Amino acid sequence: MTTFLQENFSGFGYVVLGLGEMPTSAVTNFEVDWHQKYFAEQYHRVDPVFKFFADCRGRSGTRLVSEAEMETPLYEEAKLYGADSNFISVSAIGGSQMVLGGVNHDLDVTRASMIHKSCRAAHRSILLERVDQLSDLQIDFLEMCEEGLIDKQIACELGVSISAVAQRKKAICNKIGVSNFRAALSLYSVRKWSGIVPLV
Amino acid sequence: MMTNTFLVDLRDPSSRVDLYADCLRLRKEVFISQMGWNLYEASGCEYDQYDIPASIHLAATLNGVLVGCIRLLRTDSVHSGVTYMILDAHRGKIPNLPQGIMHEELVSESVWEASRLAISTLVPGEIRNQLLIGLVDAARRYVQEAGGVSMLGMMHPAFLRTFRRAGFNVRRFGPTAPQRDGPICVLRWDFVAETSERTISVLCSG
Repeated sequence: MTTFLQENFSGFGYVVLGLGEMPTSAVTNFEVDWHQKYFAEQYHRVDPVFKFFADCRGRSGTRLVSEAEMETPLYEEAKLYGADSNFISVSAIGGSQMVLGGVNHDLDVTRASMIHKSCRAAHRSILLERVDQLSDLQIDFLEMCEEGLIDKQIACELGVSISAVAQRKKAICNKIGVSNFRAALSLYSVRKWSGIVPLV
Repeated sequence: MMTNTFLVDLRDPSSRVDLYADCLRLRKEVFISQMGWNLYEASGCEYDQYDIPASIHLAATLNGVLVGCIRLLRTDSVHSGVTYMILDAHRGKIPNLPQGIMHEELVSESVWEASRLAISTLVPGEIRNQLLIGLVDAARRYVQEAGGVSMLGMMHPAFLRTFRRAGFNVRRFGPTAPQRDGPICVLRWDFVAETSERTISVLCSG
């Protein structure tokens, strides 16, 4: 992921957030001083990157920030650190959202759209890697779900209540960072069957 | 939905040799056309240095359509400078596959390797496990009939749970290693005589 971003941006920063979650730090190659100041001063509250994120309302989207929009004190300061991001990508998968700001003032809309697709794929990869952190019991649970067992059948097989099944689904969602269990199950299947079945 | 598995043995005309090219075409479709792997392809088929007359193939059909296949090779196979895929990968001889993936090098006439497992997207998610288990159980039957006792395969670690739930005696036979499509590890199935045939057959029948 970092390589792909370094190839396209002189500077970038991204966060992966759950629904309603606020950013406190970012994965970035911007200067440490800027990164610390950005979150200490809560610049994300006025940053067009996060304004666009809010406007997306849980959906994916991309846009380029115009030069006129960059005529603000925030951008003036960001420019000193090479952090005047003009590219914004918001990716939404099952309640997980990745917000990325990147600096590349040569981008046109077509190229930006292509990079946005790559950002979506990168977001998916981040979530797929989290599947590998699931416990054996959580994998057993997902196996039953993948085979189409309904909650009542799973509860019966595990000897637990229906509400315990719901709790286990929530725990799996939390670990992967999504809010939608169908998305968690889909990510699990994609990860598990990769190299055998070409699931998209 | 009706699933079946068939043996494809190029040395045995009574087996379903007519499905051989279909298996290679399915592999080409899955690995090259859809996953974009950089593998050798000719005449619409994918094949490699391990597709030799001694290789056994198992084909799975769903409602009469070929939707899955797997290849078996004895681990004491040596030909044209190659052994079997997992051992060659372990020794660092296969680009794009991790090395050092086995607890120990295993070469035995009673241990087989399963590789090139491919399943079509035509198979609905809820019966994918059933089809896979059908293929691996058909492999178990073949290996046992041939005097074998164990089988190795390289898969995502989650399959350890899938096969245990299905009644197989399976364990890791090496560390989990990262690769492009996610982590993989070598699994080892041990087919002891008292392998729970009943349990597995019940699961295979859905």
